[in-house]
Amino acid sequence: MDFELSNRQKQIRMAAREFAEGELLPIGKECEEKGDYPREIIKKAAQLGFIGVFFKKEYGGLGLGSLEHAIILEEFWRAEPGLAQVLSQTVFGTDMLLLYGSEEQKKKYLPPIAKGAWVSGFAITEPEAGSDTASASTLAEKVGEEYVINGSKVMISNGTVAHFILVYCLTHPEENSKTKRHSILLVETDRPGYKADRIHGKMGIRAADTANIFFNNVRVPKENLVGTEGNGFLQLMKFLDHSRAIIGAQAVGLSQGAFEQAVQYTKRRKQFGRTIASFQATQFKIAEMATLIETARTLTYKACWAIDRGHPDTQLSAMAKWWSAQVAIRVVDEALQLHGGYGYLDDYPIERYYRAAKILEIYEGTKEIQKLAIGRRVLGTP
Amino acid sequence: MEFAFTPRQRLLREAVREFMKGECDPAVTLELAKKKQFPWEIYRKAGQHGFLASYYPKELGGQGIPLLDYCIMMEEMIRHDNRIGMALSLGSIPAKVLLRFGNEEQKKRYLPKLTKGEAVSSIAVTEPNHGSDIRFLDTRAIKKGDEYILQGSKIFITNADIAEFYTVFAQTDPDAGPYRGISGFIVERETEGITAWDIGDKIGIKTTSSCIIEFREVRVPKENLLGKENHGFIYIMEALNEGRIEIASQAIGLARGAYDRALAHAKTREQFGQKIGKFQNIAHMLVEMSENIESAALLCYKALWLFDQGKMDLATSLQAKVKCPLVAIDTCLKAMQILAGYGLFEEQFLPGYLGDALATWLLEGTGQIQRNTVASQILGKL
Repeated sequence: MDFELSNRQKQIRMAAREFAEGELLPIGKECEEKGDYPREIIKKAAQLGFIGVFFKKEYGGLGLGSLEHAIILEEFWRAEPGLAQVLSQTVFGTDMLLLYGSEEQKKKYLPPIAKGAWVSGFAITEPEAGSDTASASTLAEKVGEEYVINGSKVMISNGTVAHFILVYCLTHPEENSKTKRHSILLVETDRPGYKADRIHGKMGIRAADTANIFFNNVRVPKENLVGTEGNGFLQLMKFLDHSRAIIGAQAVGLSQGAFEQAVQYTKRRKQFGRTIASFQATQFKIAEMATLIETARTLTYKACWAIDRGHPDTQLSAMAKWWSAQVAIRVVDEALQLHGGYGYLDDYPIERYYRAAKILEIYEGTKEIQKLAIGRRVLGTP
Repeated sequence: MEFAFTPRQRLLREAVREFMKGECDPAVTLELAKKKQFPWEIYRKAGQHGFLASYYPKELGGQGIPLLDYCIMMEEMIRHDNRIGMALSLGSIPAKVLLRFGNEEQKKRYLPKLTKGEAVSSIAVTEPNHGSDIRFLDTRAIKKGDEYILQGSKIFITNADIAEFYTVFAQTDPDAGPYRGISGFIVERETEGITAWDIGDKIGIKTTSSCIIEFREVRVPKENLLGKENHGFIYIMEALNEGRIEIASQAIGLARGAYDRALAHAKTREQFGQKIGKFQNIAHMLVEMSENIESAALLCYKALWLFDQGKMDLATSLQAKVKCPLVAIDTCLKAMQILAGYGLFEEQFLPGYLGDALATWLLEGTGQIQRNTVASQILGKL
């Protein structure tokens, strides 16, 4: 067992931290307030090689792994969760292409993303199909050499800004097994019949684009099928083994950022003639937060390590996502508490972290779904 | 709303406290627990003072006081000495079915001995294969002429090796649907064909035994049938639901006892040149314990008050049965933490309090089963 990061990984962390503190931190608050989607920042991050590090070199990446991707996002989330979300979802769905896409698809669609010219998306959720993805009803009918898509998706990251979206479609409604009815299609967003409305009023991460999407007879050629027909559900499950570990890293970063602010604040703030850090109640809080973060980080890295060894572990990824998100919620709550009334004002960044944290327990599978996944792994299907 | 104890409640509590102070010797209690012996001497004295099953009507030897008043006394006993208090209260709880559903003759014959402290009772429901699930029972009662023949075995039956009589539940109609084929009987322990023995060391409730009972062709006169044939399940539920509020009271007594000991320790023990209660961490732990106990006790008193008004509310009672044991467990753990090394020793009583607190969580239906019932009360049929 070796718990030390390699020199390369340490350098990546330092570079990511420098970028996050230099480029994200100064504009984070304004982007959050205005809900601006900052395209420029994606280009800058891409130029420095931070986007799609886990793509192979022939697809424009650095040929690194999930762990390096996780470290970069951890640093982004530590410095500025709102813009970090923008940069996280820039590549959302590309794991699906890497896992199941054809060589042509990978060569065509991945390099522009690594360059920051395009962003991707993955549309799964529907009004009546949230946790229950196997009930998705957006229909893709095969007509000759094309699929014709009709239906709608909700709360889709990058819906109005993506160059293409992977869409989780119902292609075999007649199939008995609920897990063999779906297929994944790649839809370029400039195709006729594609419409996306940006959603406003999110609790946090407001700079990130989230949209409701409507498909009205959208036609895509059969070459746009990703993977195998009828295999969409299983592909999705494999995909989530990858993406959930990464959410763990986001949560660890957010926790670390909130934690450091709490440490700084308590060492400076004086009450009853002494710094509040000198009170035992504060010290114990800080100790608990530090310990929680350490467990979340180690678990997340282990899940990434399993992926990078070529053995993604459903249970570990679900644990990493659930536990780290829970840690984030607890840590950010305590961090804000330590700021007292000031924490409640937007003079300090902590309230933004607080608002950003909750999404971690919801997207890409709620915490309840993670526990189901863990429980089933442990117990089999009772 | 009236939150104050009545003068009678205060007097009863005082009287019980004086009684316990006078009668309980910690060294004797520890010896009893070690030898797993029932505290007969104090039990008989408590009976003479009217402290046992005092809510029974006067004609059955009770004091005819409300259940709430009785539970306040019981809470005080357990608070002072859990080994003695739990044993005193567990003498009569098992006879609840007889009290509520027996005929006059049956009640007059068996119950006054309980209030006088001359006998204890047991209720025999649980079987090796039927713990939470008592839709059907394996123990059979077959009617033959004027008798029933009991055949089968029971497990975890409190005090079955010393009880004067049991209320036994057995399957009278093996073809009936779930819940519908069970009947209750009064069975004297000294009946031919009955063997009962204690099954070993437990973590808690050490002064009452937990037994296996074997019934080998035990003949029970039909006069000993409780209520109507095949109505047993309903009787069990009704009686248990009432008994469960008593269990909640026991838990409050346990929590208060552990809290008292932690508080006394925090006020006397010195470390780093000051009373450890001056350390914020210790002080806050005590406050949290107090918060938990006060809120749980209020829930418990409310359930008892509703019962005494003749408006017993199932959801309130069972929530008390869930909440109070959880608070007791947590309080005991915190108390042990405050006493640190000392907390681990039997002499300080805390291991015993913790063991009994765990028992209150499991006795008369586990917390999980209570939650199932409360859920159906809250959610209705879905």
